[in-house]
Amino acid sequence: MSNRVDHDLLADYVGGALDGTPDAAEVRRLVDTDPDWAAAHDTLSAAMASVSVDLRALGSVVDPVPEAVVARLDAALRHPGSFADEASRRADAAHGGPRPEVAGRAAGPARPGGERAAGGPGGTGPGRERRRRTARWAAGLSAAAAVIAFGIGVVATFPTATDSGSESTAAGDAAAPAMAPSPEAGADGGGVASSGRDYRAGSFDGLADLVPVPFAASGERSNRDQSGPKAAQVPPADAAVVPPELGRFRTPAAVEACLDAIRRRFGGDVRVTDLARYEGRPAVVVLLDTAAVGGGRPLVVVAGTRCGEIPGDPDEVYHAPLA
Amino acid sequence: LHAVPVEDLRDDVALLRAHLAGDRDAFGTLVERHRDRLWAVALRTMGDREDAADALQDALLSAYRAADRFRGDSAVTTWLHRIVVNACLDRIRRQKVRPTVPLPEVDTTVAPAPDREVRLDVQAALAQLPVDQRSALVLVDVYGYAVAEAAEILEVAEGTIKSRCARGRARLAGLLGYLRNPATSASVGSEREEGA
Repeated sequence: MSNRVDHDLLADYVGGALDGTPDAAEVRRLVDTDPDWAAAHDTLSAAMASVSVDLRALGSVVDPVPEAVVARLDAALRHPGSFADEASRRADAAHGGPRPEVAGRAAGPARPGGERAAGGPGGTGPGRERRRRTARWAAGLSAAAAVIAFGIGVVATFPTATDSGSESTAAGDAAAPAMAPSPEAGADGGGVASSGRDYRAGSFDGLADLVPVPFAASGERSNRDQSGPKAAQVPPADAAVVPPELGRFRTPAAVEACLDAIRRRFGGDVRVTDLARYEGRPAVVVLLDTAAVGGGRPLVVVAGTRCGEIPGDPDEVYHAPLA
Repeated sequence: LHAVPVEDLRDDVALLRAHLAGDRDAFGTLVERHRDRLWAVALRTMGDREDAADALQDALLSAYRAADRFRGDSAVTTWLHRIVVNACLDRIRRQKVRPTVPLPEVDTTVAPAPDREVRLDVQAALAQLPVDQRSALVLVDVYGYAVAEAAEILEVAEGTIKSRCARGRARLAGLLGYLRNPATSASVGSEREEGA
């Protein structure tokens, strides 16, 4: 170990992350014998202790849930279908799409000082978006007050534009925290395949050779003119072979939420995603490269129909290195 | 005569089961019981009230709809916290921008001025940390969760939590001016690789 102070290691040592490891003894030796390490240790220990005090003080401050947020949560839980669709629209807006006003989105307090300082009127940057948000929140306060005053009957009169068969109102989509694909969705996974296969444990022949259909093409196909050039990228038979139970994965956000959950658990990069079956049951079959498990071999992860429904939960059915 | 609200004495698991059985009030009662704590964690993790409200709503809707996925191998509160923290982290990662610092327009009576200044400094610095360090510190240092519980909530090893907290504290020490050479803290990585 070099005598040059390793601040990562020293922070781990001070924070107890090395306890019980050989590194702890080595760092202790360096601190005892090397003046640079000793000085850095003393300084960092005192500084980290001060930080801990500050953080505890932060936690001791009570930040009650704003009443408007309480009302909004109450309304959301009384009408989860409506708010699922709202979540979709919010996410669309966050990624540059339309962000229509939604009744019932009553929430936080207005932020006059900071909002005014964020940018000039009529701008197009983040400041403008934040002002729009603030305006919506402020406008929503009256709706929240209505909820508080009149209860569920008032909420029921809010326009929801949902429950009309839209996929975005499905229960699974409600669980996805954001409904639009992340910017890296195309780079990591790049879309989905739908092979129509029924995989078995230890038998994933051909999975690595599948060519996913880009999300954009899938979206074009499902929502627009299916004879257009992008739709032509989607093999005509694909839709027919996707198990209906996997219908929510036709939206890139649902796929991304699922892949995010899988990556979070296994690490690595998604090579291909196949909306298929596993031992007869509908499943999202994912092939990962450079996963944290699997001994360096590509890793197959089979996820159930509820993959990503809870953020971070892949609904794992099976995983094993690719044979 | 005024109606006096009757406290629901059912425990969290019973409320979740009742929700699954069709009790329309059970989940609301469960949320009400833990809402303050969940809000606090969301607020400190997101660093912005609007984003925190969005994340909390996302999370609670997820929990509402997927209550049957609760396996019972952890406390209901741990499960709820996990969903809330994951919703926050998902939102932060998708935004791909650093969360904004909360503004002092609310709770001006909560803390005296000197504490308030420190609080805002700390919150601002916290918002500059990598999300993994931030979420670990919010749970362990800010709200006093045991390392083991934080590990369960964040679904990582306890050693990883300790490392994220330690390196997060070191980085904060630089940001808050406790180190004479802030560049020192800038070199601090996210977490120790071993033990992850």
